[in-house]
Amino acid sequence: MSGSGADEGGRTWSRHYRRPYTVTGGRTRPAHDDLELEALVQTVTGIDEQLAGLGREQRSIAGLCREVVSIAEISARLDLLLGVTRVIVGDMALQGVVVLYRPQATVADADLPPVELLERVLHGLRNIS
Amino acid sequence: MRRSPPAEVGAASATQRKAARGRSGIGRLLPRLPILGDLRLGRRLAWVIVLLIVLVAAILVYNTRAIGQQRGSALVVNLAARQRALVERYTKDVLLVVDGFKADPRDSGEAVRQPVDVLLDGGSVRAPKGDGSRVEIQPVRDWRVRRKLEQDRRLIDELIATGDGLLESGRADPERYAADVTKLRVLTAQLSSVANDAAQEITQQTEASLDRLVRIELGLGLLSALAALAMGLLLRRAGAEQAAQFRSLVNNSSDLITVLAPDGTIAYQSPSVQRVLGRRAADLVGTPLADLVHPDDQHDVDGSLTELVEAAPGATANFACRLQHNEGSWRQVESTCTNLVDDPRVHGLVLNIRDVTEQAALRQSIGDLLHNLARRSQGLVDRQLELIDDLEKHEVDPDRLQGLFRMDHLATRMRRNVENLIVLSGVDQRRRWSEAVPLRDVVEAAVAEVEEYSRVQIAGLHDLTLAGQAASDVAHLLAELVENATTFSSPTTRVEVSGGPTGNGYVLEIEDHGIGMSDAEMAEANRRLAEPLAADVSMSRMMGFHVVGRLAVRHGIRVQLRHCWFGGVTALVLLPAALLGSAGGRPATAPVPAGVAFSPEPLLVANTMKSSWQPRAHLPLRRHAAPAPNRGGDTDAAAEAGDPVE
Repeated sequence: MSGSGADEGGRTWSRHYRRPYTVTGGRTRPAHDDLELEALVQTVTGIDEQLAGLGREQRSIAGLCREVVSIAEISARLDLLLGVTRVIVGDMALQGVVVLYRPQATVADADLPPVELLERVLHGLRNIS
Repeated sequence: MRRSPPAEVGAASATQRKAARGRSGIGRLLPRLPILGDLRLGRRLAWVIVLLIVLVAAILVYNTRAIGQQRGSALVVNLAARQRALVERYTKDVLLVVDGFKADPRDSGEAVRQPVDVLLDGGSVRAPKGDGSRVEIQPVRDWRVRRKLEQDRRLIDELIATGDGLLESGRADPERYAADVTKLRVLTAQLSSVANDAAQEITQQTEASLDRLVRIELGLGLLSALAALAMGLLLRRAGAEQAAQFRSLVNNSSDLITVLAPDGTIAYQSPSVQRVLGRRAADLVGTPLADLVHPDDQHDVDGSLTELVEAAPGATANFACRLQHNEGSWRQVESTCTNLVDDPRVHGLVLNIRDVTEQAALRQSIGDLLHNLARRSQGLVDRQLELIDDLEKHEVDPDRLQGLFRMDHLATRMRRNVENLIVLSGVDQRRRWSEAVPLRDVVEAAVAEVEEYSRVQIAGLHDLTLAGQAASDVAHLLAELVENATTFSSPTTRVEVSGGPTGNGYVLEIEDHGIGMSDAEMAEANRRLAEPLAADVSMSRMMGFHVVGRLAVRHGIRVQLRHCWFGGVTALVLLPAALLGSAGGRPATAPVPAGVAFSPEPLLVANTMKSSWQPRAHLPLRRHAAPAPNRGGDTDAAAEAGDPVE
């Protein structure tokens, strides 16, 4: 976000008056159902020509995602709501501006390691640090 | 014109006496203010009287001449002579026949009888006049003349009877013949005298009636002159009464009427100044009005009056100022001022001054109340929005986020209303934001405040910033216009916000695809935008326009509605260069450097819009294909937006 004008309370005018729902026109459901927060996003190379037609947030995301970045990270770095980021990135993927690398969720539930095993691994990791 | 009925004459004269007494006070000033006396009425009256007199005189002259002619002819008529001649002829004829000569006594007898019969039967007779012409004798109606004529006819009958007897008997009986001849002669003599009398009587009657006519006409003339005079007096009195009423109105009105000479000194002051300012009217005459005006208002008053003096005759201007009471306090007044410098009866500016001190105080307290209430609501809504912000930040579930967005939208619109109320309260708000805000953020904030925000599309705005203290006001102003555009267009159409630089600022265009407005509605809307009113009840009904007008005036912004060439309405908002800055220290896209004073001239759309309007003519077609009319600016924005990454 390109807000400026620091003042009392540390909040900028733009953060105060711009509302997140306008970014997506009020939509909260991404085009891809259950788009994961950890899904990775990368801007398609050579797409610069089309950037001009995009909105401000879309351009920022496209700029940020020249390297592979996760949705959660985009949200944090651009100070966008997670829900909003998901909707925008989903739209951009549909438009072909970005590529999504979603985690492999196609593995059958039965093939997943049991929860106890995962918890033990977690404990082990904690013990290491 | 008013006419007093007789019953009111007493009252009218009493009023007049009162007015005459009052004249000792105000009357000395009246000659300076002849507008109070109804001169036009008097002048019209004089014309009516002169016309009446001329008319009567003309009738009199005409009639007198006619009467003179008649009288002359009447004198000439000598019926008696004629009759005598006829009677003598008849007698002679009878005697001739008796003596054996040839004659026609019956014919001459008829000739004698005929005129008398005709006159008595109500016919008119033509009688020979002295000069050979004939004159007509009018039918006889006067009873005295009739009596004479009837006597005349009896004698004629007797004469003819005697003549007939004579003709029958002839000279057979000499005694009877002698007696009849004698009787014939006697009757002839009698007839002569009776006819003389009758003729005299007729002449007398004619003359008498002519005299009467003359007298009547003279009387009529006199009467009409008197009537005209009386009417004149009545009207004069009515005029005086009217003037007195008017004067009494002026004296007792709570408004002040002041006539200013072109040099700014008071030429006339209504006495009500005693009540309003505690000063005597006579003391003020000759002193400059400026002596009374509050020093802070001096400039405005001078400006308004100077402008008015230079304006066309009959032009009016309004201004508000404070005038000093005799005791030193200040009274808030509103003045309606009319330029009557060219009117020879006034030769000055007429000021109608109304004391609005109480109203102003009331308005102030209502404004304060409104402001306090709105401020409290504002604090609450701000806190609510912060809370919603926090909740939204961590919300991943689309449905719950949807709910939060709805709450957010409602709270945002609530904040807009509350902040509009603060604007309308007239209390100057504390400046909260000092640093410049990107214009695009302001437009987006405006869109967020509109109910149907999803229909609004923001197209290529230039990369400018807006002064922080104006950001909220501009956002609310735009929100009102966008709200208006979405409300009055079909829900399926889009509303577009775009912008372009002009010579003296930046123009934002809000374009809808609705049914548009009629010319009259548009003129009315533009008038209301140009002249925001003070807070009152009607304002709450049409809050939008008032808010826009107020906000625009506050920041020197000009707003105008125009017909859109493809239907719908375009709202033009001219942001003055003084409010604008360039983003990121780069030169502004507008060709004129920021800081150039905003020209107070009316928005000359034809000229100022030329640069941005022309290319936009094809915009609806181009938007989908390549919606980048300002690619340079947008690329800058993109580059800037990418800044946090680097």
